[in-house]
Amino acid sequence: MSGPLTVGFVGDDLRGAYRPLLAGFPVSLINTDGEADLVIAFGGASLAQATARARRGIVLVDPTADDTALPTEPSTIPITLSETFAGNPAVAETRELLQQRGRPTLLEVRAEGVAPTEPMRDVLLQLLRVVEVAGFPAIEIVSVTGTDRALLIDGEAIGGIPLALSVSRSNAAARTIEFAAQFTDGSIAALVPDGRTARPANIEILDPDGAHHRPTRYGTALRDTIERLVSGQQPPSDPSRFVNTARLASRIAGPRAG
Amino acid sequence: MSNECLGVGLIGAGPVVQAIHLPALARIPDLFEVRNIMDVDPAVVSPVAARAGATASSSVDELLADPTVEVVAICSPPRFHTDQAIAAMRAGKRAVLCEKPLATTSEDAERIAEVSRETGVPLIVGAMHLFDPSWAAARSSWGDLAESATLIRSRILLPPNSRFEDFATEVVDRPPSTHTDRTDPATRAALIEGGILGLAIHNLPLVRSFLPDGCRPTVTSARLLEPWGYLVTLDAGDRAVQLLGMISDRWRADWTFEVHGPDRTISARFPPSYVQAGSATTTIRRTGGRSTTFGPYDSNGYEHEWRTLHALALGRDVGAPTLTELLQDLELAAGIASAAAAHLTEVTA
Repeated sequence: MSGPLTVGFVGDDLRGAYRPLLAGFPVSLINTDGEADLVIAFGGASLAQATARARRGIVLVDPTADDTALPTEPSTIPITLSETFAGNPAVAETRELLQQRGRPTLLEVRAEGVAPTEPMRDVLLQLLRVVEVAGFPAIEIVSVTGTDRALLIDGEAIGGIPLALSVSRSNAAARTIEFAAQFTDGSIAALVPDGRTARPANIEILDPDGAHHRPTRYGTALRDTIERLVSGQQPPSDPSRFVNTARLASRIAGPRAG
Repeated sequence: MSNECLGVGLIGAGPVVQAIHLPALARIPDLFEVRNIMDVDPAVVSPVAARAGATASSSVDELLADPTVEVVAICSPPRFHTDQAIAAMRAGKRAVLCEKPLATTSEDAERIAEVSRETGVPLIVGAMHLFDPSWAAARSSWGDLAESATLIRSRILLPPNSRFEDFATEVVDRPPSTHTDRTDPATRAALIEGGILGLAIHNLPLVRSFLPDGCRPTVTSARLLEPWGYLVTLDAGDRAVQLLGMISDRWRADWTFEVHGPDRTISARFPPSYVQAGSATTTIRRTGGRSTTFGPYDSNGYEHEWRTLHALALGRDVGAPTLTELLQDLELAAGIASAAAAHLTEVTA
């Protein structure tokens, strides 16, 4: 794709929250209520509507654990997933940094400031997807402790790396997900904010030699997704892994699915 | 109010005494003077006592017979704590500070408490974070979080102890590190018990502050971490507790304690053990983005535990943990340690 593009929105009222972000894109996005080159869909339920309107592509924003009916075969109109936390460019950057280090001794992933209304399965999906995108697929869950208000999950990532997941609902903390990989000689961590605000992500690198870097990253998942689509760098997503993880998140949440 | 200077006897002359207590006492010379140090190893106790200008003793009896010793700190291996604490109280000393854990079993801890009640000799346990001025200041502001807490996390990531001991002092005769066979189930169980009773125990009195009275958490997962560490998850009814401890070659210490509730969170960041680097920094966050931060202050938990001991020795009520609380702290720690070891053994089998 190359700009200027027409863009349409389908789905719930999150459109209002994202529009300021779109206004700042370095490409011309012309809003339209009819057919559009790119349709930004909020929620899997609006996918059929998006498919009817999209000429060249669909961006599905914040797919949830209920979105297990995503087409897993290539479709005529390519669908790209834009996940607020896992899709934040700071997570991809963290994965690259991790590839330069040895095997971690522990992975920690924490969701904080989770609102009482957010379904636990969606929050777990966000956590698990961050772990996957950071480069650690094939997660095995060993135990789940807590209630719908706070959860601690003990598990293992590929290769038997210990994985500690936690969720805390609180009005007193900012909505974030923090991913940290501990090594025997340091750590690499990414603190990713809710992409609907202007707060940046932070990456923290603790090097073996005593160095300490804390770069700030202002990108968001949606902006990064659209920029990549426009520049032709972003291949359509393969939703099959997402769907598997969504099912795992729902299983873990179980009775805490509210 | 009198600031009578009290004579101190230290039982044990290892790195904890050398790198923690002697530097802490040196900061409050108006309150304490080190008079006697005891260790079974003369090659250690002689230079350490000489450094402090104190008498070197080779037995507990010898130290307790020293009339200039008015308060006693027990810094020996935990298996000796019960007999030594009881002996110090029976010797008519004015107060006893016992390093953690107070004892190796709840029964032994109860014996110590019984003698403390009988003799009237006050006792405190060296859980320095309870005495940290930042933590103490935050205590009045956390509102109903003790009742509403949902998630409690103790997270301790440290470089090797020796790095901080060497910051604090020139250590005489450091014990050598030993190799352990992690494939042996008994060794694995001992390692996780050691992790809980040696490292997690620093924060367990804080954890207990946010549990319902009499709560006995269940261990739902326990694992050893490489190169040395533990990750234990506890189910405490309507709250979940995570205990994470790891010692590796990292250069930075991250020692935090957090409590999350629906409308309030506490986050305390403590300086590593051995370092006389001031207090923790404790932040309480509330709904709406408001937050209050306490500290860092110039003094640390070690200094304040000694100040508390001084006040108790002079008969002052300074809100120190009660004997009942000390027993509950030990019961919690010992219960978690044995349950984590059992869990690990079960998983391994």
